[in-house]
Amino acid sequence: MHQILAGVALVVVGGVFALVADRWSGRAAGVSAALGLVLGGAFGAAEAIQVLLGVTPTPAAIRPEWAFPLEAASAAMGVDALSAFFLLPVFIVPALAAISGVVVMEEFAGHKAVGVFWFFFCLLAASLAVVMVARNGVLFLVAWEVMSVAAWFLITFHHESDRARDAGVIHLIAAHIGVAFLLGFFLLLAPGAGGLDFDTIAAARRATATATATASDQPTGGAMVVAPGVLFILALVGFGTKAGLAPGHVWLPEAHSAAPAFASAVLSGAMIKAGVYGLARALALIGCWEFWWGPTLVVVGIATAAYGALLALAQRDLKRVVAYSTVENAGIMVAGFGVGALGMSSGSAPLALLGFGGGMLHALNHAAFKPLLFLVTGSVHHAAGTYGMDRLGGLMKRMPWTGLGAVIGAVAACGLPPLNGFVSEFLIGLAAFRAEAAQPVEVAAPLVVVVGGLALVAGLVGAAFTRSVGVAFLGHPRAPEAERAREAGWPVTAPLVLLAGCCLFLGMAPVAVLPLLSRAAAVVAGMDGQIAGDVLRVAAGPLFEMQPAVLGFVGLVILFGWWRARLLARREVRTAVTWDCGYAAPAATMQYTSTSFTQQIVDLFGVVVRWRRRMTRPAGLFPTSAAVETLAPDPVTNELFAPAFRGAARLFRRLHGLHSGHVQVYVLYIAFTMLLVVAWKMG
Amino acid sequence: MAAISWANLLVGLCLAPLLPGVIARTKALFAGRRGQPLAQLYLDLWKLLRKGAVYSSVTTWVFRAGPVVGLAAAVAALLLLPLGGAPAVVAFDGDLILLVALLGALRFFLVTAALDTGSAFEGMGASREMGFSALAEPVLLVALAAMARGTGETSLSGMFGATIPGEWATQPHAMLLIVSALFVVLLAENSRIPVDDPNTHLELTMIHEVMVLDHGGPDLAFILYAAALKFWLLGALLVGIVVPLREIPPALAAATAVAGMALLAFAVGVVESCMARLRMSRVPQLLVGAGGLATVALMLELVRS
Repeated sequence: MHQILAGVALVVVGGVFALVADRWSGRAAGVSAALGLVLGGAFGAAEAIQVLLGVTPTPAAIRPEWAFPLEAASAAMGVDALSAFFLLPVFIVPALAAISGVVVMEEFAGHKAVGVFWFFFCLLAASLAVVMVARNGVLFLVAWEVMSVAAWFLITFHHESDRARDAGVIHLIAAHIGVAFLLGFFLLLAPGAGGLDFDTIAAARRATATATATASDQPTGGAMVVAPGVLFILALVGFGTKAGLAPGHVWLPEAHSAAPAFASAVLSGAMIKAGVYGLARALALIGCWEFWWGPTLVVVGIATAAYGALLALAQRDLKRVVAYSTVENAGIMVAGFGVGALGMSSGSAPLALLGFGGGMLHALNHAAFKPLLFLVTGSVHHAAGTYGMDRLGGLMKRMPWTGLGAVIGAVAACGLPPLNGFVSEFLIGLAAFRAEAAQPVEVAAPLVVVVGGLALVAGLVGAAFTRSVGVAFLGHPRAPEAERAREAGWPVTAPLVLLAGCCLFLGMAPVAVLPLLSRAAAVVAGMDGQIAGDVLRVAAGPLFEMQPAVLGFVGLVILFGWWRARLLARREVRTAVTWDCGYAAPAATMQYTSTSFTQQIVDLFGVVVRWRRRMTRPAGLFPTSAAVETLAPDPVTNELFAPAFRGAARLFRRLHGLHSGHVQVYVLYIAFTMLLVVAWKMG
Repeated sequence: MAAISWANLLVGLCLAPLLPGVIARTKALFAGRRGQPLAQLYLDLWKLLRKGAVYSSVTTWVFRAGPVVGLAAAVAALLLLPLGGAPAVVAFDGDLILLVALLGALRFFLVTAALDTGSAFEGMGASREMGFSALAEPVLLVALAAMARGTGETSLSGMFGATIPGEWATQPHAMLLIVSALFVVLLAENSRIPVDDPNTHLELTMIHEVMVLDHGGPDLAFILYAAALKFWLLGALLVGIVVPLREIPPALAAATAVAGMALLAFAVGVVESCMARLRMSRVPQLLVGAGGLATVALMLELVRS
């Protein structure tokens, strides 16, 4: 525990130093922040891994004396396997992102508040770690709030652009709507438990559960003031908004595309995980499982995944593709939790552990390949000055390391073997298939949605990422910027290589990952870690039986590659132009664009996504110019939230009359209110 | 037991290139021509493997990796394929997910290789391929989910093992629906009529063929062989359901399965001879229709007591 707190302190110190060092040079600020993040991250991650592996006994929760002005509040902190599991991305991702950020931020040194940016970058990482270890509702919410506000500073770094400011505002609104639900969640969770410490809440809930189990006539008051279903909905909306579940996802693509790419890597790789962690923790705290939660989570998760994949497919901006793919992956994680919840309510421990384990493993995997993809987009932007796919192309030749990172990240994100995305999707799919084959129909039916949904999502994501890689990195450069692009140097490429290595390791060595997983999944399922480990090892057996085929696949790739090289070794290998059908003057603009690649598929789902076209038609007998621009705006924003907020604004405008501007009137309001309160107290 | 699995793998590797020959001969028969030799693909592969290569100056390692990874994925997927009721070399719960994912890897690298050429033609093919397979993949998995529900097994070897005859006896209508859905998937994924015409000579109407325009020599051989293996893979799943002979010696079972594959190729040839290709915009309707069939089959399997 102390090592983790020391890590957090180091991160904060790095941030404060950055604030000071900015006076001398922007680079010093970046280096000091990165140093704090790397050292603090290494410290913290080391202890988290020890806790996960059970090398050291789980440290007891600490409860430092702290004069909160609230009775129920305390600074209780602790780290169990669930916290430790989510601490891994929180410590590792910001450290790696910061290394590449040092170079990227140099161009803004002097004319932008780089020091402030780095301070909030560190604060975000630190507050995320506190969110994971908080063991009291108030401390949790305070850290949560710090996290949201720190993220706002990263999102609005380019505050000179309208889009960044809008993104910041949307983020704040979404974050606070989410917090409103979380406040409700914690307040309703606590009554009767004697405080907001998680341990007391859990103990009280357990006591109530056993009491209701023994004396089944009625709940013995106290802890169960509201139906658990209400708590579940509050947690799902509150945490789901942060995790990026549709329709609460609308802030996410805006925020991720507005922030500098390496900051988006942290938002997506670590901050989104706070929402997923929160959901897992809330499920563990509620402590009972009603049947309808599983199907709800499954349907919300799969719908979010399909929606995210479809919108990713329709974006023309490389970074927005990656951002919408975060929505898609959050959906898969929650679908995994849904499978787990079905397992809990139907009393099947293997199903529960596979579901929760698969969902959490997907969170970890996503924390490897998504920062990788964001850092790739950052590297592209640094080199070519644009995220627009249709102005890129041919980057593979000019930026080989970034290109390799893009291919590896894309394969992992598509859930293809032998990389990590496949392993977690396999676990979720395996759980769904097994239960679908054997369980009664009410459990099997929701899992069919998982099977079919994951397949559809896999197809859409496959299209989205072949398109991103193909249009941005392959073929001819479409614009001079892309032609001039060059690799930025080791601080940008090294984190890419490290994260790509993580993807490969997590994909090829499930043996190493499964022990990390079982203890964390056990916390959510409320099981003993040891027993859960045994159950999960049997349930996830196919992961080991699969190894020969996956290794065979890798071996065959090497074998065929070697064979091909041998075949061509002593033969004539020539270079020529691409087959152009006899047309002598092919141009780069003739290549398939991002929109043309995807039009056919998106048109099929026209019910969900609609193109918005701006067209300048060729006019006259000898037209000189014509243009077409195709955009796919988020329908949830445009057709759900925009009207809703316009309506709210109209409503609040009616209250304008109350604001007369005269002090006397306000005093009258106060007097009226006092009168009402007194009347209420008397009555 | 393991010996028969390896033998079946070998049978698949050796006989897969025969099936395109059978299809071509069937079509020739219908057209009143003599047609190419049955072993034409073997000859093509042999010729291509002895050639050099010409690469477009635009291409990178992605273009060269495409055929290699594609063939490796197809062969690795063959490791998971049961034949004639005998289990596969590698069999585990949920292996069908790996099978589908390996086909996904094949497609991913084939499509990126096509985009690597920077040609509008190949971009067009890549776009179509991803679009149609995004619809075909759920059909395949839902059909297999229906099989899993019916047989209570979650590995391909278990599903296509001893329980198939019993399934036909108890749930013939569901099985029929599964077979028809899988047949559509087979046609779509292997770029056959009515989804794609492998014999077309106009780039604008191609899907699979146009993606490999720039490949030559050993690379093209790898791609052609991988495509033949993919036909074998999906065909073997279909034949595994349609030929419900299980209580016979393994060698005989393998022989019937191979005969079944030949018949399937003949059937594909008949389909190709009797109908024209669908308009591109109609193809999704066909696939969604197949998805509907598979879903109905799954519902039938779900509600049975």
